[in-house]
Amino acid sequence: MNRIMLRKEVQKLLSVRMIPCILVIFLILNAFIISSSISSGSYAGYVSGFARQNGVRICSEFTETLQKEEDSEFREILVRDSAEAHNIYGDFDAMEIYSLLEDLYPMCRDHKLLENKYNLLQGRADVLRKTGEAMDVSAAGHTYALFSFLFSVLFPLLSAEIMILAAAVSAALSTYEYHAECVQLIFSRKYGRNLFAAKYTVSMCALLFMTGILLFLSLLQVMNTEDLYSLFHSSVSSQFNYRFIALCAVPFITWIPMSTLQYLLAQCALMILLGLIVHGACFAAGCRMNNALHVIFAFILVFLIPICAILCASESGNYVFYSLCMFNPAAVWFVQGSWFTDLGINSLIPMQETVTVCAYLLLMIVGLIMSQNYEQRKDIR
Amino acid sequence: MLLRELKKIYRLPQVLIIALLMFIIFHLSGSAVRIRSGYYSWFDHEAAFTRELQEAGFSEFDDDAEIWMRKKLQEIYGQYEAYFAEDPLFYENGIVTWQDFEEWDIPEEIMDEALDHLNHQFNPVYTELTVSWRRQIIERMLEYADIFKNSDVSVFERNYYMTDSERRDLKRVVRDNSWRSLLPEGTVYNTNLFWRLILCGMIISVFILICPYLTSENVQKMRSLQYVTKTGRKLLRHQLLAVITASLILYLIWTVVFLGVFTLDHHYESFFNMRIISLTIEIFRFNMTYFMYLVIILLLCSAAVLIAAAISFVISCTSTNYISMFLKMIVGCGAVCLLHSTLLFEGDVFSWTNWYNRLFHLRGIEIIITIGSLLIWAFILRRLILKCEKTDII
Repeated sequence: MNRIMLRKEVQKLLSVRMIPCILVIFLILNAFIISSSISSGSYAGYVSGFARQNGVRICSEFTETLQKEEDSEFREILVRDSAEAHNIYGDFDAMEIYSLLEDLYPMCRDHKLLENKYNLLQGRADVLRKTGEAMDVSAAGHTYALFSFLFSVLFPLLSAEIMILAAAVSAALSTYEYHAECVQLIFSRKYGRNLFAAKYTVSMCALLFMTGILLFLSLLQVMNTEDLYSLFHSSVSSQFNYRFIALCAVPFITWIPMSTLQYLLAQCALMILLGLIVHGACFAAGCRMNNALHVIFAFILVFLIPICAILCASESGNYVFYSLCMFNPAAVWFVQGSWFTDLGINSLIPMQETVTVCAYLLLMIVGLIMSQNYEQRKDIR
Repeated sequence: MLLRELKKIYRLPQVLIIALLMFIIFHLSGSAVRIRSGYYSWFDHEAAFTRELQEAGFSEFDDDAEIWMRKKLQEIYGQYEAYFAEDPLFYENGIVTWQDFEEWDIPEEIMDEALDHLNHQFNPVYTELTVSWRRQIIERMLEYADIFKNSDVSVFERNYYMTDSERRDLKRVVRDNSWRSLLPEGTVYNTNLFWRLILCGMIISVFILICPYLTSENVQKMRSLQYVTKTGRKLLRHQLLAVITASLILYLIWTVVFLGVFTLDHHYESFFNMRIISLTIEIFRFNMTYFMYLVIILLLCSAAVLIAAAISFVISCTSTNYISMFLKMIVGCGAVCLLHSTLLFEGDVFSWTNWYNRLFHLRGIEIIITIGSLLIWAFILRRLILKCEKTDII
């Protein structure tokens, strides 16, 4: 692999003009969604500004300073929200949630694995109770909507876009020579067999570059619209930060302690890994199938089949089957809004989404090595 | 030739993808209308009550129907009174009649208990038409009937910003007595929810089916070869015909499958002869039977499918590699799904709540936009085909 090979691969990639076009379309789409969902000068900005001067923890000093603040609509909301604040993990009972899930989803009844998971979650809640992280204002009341939009709407959308780009970039480069009908020529040259590594490097770098642009510009727009810097230092498991399991509000408990910024970075990291899995899998598929159309069909099928399997499993009421179906990238993407938490009935083990992504990453590496060997040994017909 | 082209269009991976998509939509639409609790159950109960009314011989809200409903309501209030006399929680707090209960400022500490008692007695099974549901439905129907009978338009004006034309529509409805239909309140809403999902499924299927069709010929560089043959220059016309036929076949499959689910599973056929303007706050700009409404929705969906087919044909023709085709397909598919599902089902077709109706204040704007788009795409296709037929082969 040398510099000329890399440059040639970049040129090949740029020859597919639709790839930069779709990146621009995705950026416009994200900008539109962000601007229609977040408005500047809102309550979240007020809370963040106040937290910058007085800290993020709701305590007597916080309340006293708040009382002295200039009277405004936002101040009244924060006074009301912080007055009702209490350490919600004091009476948190994980088994109660587990029994609620049993009532709502009879298929998960009497499963020891799920029970063990909720015992572990109780331990995590006990730690949170002692540290008092529930008293942070990370998602105080109305601010919750903003974080909910970030983690449940914007990030899954970004993930989907990254995966589409990953499939497009890897399929474009891995099948380029086959469609240009010059594969024999390439393979018969001195470094032809090493082209695979150059292709993979270029397509991965292109993907990371486009992912970076997507994430950077989207988050920049969010930060420009809403001043959230101060809230980033507070715990993501604030008492106002909750999610819904059916009609029940459940506190947002991550398996490891995380500030809002750490949570955001962890989501970004896992999102990129998910993109890399799709990229690697599509690249390996491209090398084996030699046809971009088949890679695209494989990409669509790989996403549709697990969804159908999950629907079948939930209809059949077989929890073991359902849990097994949840160990795939499509299912991981579906539950992105609650990554690093217990995921309700959707996971059997703590940090299941991370474990799944890591396992698939390993599989992808094995797949790539096998494809590399295949390319090295393949006869030219 | 048509059969040969259809064979090229319907390839196994695409058919498999469409079958999986159909399964997912089948599941989601079933959940949307039947399984999910809340508003949708309210619709099911109203539907069951309307069937009861039909069995009692009432086809519209006339004096006899009103007497029947008021009698039923009194019976229900009697049941409540008998229960209040038995339950210490109520008689100790001086609750004797239903009116007492409605005016009762329930103390917070016993609110949950009181509601639990009532639910346990009158609404034990959520999925069936219970006493509680029946009372709510009759009360609501009689409330709307009073509004219409007294021509009390101000109630509507409080809930909606009304333009002059909408006000004229409302006056016409009151004057013509066309509000007397007994079509349940949520029927049209749920119908739209159901068909919105299916329309999206149809559009995605058309894109998946058509887009790779001509792109594969472009990738294999077959176009120049085809053009030098005797009928080669006319081939694109046959291919367009094949694309339209394939899309319509796909549309028919989706329609037949889901219309079957619609009528067999949800028994919507009992509403077919009812007029869509009924005892509800939502007023439509045209008064037609529910069956007619369904037919118009299906026709508009078929037009949307043809538009999707036209766009995918253009994508297919103009893409020289599969990656471009895939990315164009995602953009095109997203745009068509968004535009047409909003045009037809955001709010209801021909109703005040429709977004386009409120924007343009024009009757039948949905039909105008759909047919207009269809004509524009027909024009684009004609230009494309003529251009291809005149292309020089270098």
